[in-house]
Amino acid sequence: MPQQAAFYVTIAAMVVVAAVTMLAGLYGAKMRSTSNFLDAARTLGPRWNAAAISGQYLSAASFLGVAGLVLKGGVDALWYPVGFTAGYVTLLLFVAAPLRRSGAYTLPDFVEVRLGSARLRRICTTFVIIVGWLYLVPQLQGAGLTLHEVTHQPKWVGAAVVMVIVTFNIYTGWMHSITIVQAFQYWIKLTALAVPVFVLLIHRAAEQQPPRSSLNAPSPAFTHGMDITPDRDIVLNVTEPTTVKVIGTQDGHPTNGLVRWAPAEHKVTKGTMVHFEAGTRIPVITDAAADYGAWLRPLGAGKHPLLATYSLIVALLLGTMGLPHVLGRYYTDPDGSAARRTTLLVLALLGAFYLFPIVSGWLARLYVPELLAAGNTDAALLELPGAALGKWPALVLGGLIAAGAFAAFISAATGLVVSVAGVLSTDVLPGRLRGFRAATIAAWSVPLAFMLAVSSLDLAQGVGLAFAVAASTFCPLLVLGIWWRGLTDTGAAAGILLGGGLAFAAVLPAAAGILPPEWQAVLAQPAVFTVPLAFLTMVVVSRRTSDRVPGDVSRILLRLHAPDRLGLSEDRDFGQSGPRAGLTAAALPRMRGGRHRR
Amino acid sequence: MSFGGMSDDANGPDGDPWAALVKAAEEAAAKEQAAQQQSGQDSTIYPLASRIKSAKRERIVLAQRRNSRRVVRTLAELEDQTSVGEVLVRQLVRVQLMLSLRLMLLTVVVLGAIPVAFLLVPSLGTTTILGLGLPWLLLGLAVYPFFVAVAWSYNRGAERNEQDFAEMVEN
Repeated sequence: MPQQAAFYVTIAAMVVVAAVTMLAGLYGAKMRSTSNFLDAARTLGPRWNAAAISGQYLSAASFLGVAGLVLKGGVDALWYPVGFTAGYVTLLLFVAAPLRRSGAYTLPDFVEVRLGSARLRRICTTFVIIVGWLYLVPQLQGAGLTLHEVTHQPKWVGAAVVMVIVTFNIYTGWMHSITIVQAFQYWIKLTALAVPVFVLLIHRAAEQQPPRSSLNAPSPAFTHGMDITPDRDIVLNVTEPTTVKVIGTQDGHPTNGLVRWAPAEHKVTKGTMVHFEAGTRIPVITDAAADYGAWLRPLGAGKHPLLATYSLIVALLLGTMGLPHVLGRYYTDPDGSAARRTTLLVLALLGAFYLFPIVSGWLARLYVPELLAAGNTDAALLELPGAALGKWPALVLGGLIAAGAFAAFISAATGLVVSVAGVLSTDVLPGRLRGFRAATIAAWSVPLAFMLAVSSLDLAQGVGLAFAVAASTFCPLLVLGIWWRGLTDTGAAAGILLGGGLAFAAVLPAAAGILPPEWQAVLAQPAVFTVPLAFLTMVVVSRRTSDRVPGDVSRILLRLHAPDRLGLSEDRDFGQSGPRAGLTAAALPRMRGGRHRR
Repeated sequence: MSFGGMSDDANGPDGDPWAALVKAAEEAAAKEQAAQQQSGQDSTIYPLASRIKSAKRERIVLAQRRNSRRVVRTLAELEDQTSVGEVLVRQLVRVQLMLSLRLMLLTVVVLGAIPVAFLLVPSLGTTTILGLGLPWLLLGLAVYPFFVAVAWSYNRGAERNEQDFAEMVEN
């Protein structure tokens, strides 16, 4: 019965989110009475666009993943939200205003404006698709997880539901590229997280429990008997002799009955059921902080914590500027300095948001530590209300969180699918409008298949792989393209292929879940090696091929850097090509008919 | 607005200086007219634009300053990459890049110092302020206002550099 109630409350909350979003869309459509919807969006100003960028950016990884990582890794996990935010500092310092003035809507557009090479454009297209797909996998994974937690449906159901909604949105052109709708998504997500966190904090303060014991307190114990069934192979770090009931495979032996585990690492194969008695110390998966002290202190978990930390910082700091669905949104800003003001506001909005997943991670450590044994820490936020509160408050807050999570998957996935489908239909598939529709299916079916075949990484770590590839390809391309006149198409292609190729080859085993743990630090987060390599390759090869520097490089650099009031920037011409990333098929005729800033 | 035609005109006028002057004057007049038309269009095509208050309005007014003939000539010079224009553009790019690099360095040093500090001085990791661990306060709270401050000072600096450049071009 409570299960059913949870189901209905969650569905109701999701319907409310959809209704609010559609109302916002209608309001947006009313605002859009002018002939050109882009110009209408541009009158909204940086405040709306900043919320829209944040709304599209805060995906499953931020909404669910950060809380789970904090539960697992403690203070070291805080680098994820820090990096997710700091990426916008780099974006602002090196890319935002010049990219806007280039008039490019996508990365391949920028390449064409700056270096005028069709071959390089194709290479960029390939990596836009790779980054988009890598980023989509965790979104689908999160959707599957959320629906599974609420309704116990198999994981593919949630992913399929999100993809159907996303496809519907794109075909009807309702819910995306409309700045107001994406901006609302930010506020929905913030509310869906902030309200439960405040309620839980008040509840915690009222709870009359003794204050937290010493920093070196051992890991907590199960409060009641519990079964766990991990959905991937896990290694548990057992700290004291523990008797468990196992049905399945543990330490490589098929087992059906009671097993006594000595203090050591014990392997539990995917799908095995392990039953823990009440009072047993909760063993934690090996990549989590082993005890409360390690959780509270920095550099507590993992094999090469310092290297992993730095590599993560590099990937997140430099990867944001290469995310296709982020760059497209800057086109809504009327000019370069508006793009700067927008980014400043994005930093403030993200900072405000990330406070809440971090606090949720704390609360999860207090209320749902048993997730550390099952390995599915991403469910922390979803399990939190049920573990901490009584039946009805838990239902309401749980519904709110699930609804916010769905808003996160849908807005991020829509942006990504549109970006990937856009480049697929213009640069890969033949045809025009039909091509775009087919491309939409292609854009999400590959990550869906991948997600069904393997789901081994945490949401935020999965997203980190996309950042690593983006940082190893598009960051050097954009930074050198905007600031260095010596860049040539050959140099750019060499750097992208080498840096991006190596990064992709390194993260693929991690994404597929076949990575031995001892290689985790180097391979799962290769950015600290591949980004400098890509930069170096681009510079050296460009020097070697300096006769290929475009003749109009000075004019283009002037256009990228000249103050907006001189009126030198030029938007790319929409008349020539089919549907582009971020544009609905329905929007394009409007755009073609409309007058653009010139 | 494209200035692609300007360089052709400079080569075009068949050696007759008078014809060149007349042509230039005509061109300037036509340009002014076109600009006026354009600004007139603005208010009819975008009914919303007329409802927007002073801030937006001001930008349109600023954009019209380029219609003075001298500015057009300097801009053409910039676009044609004559030696003067080339130097100006290189200078602008360098000044902007230096500003970005300075603030990037600050960000990287501040962020990069945090793990090193915790590694070298482990006691920092267990320091608590108001019951909350120092690393939690630093990474969970303090860095975000720091990012906003960096971004704010960058925006100020970059806009100032651009203003200097624009004034140099327009005077």
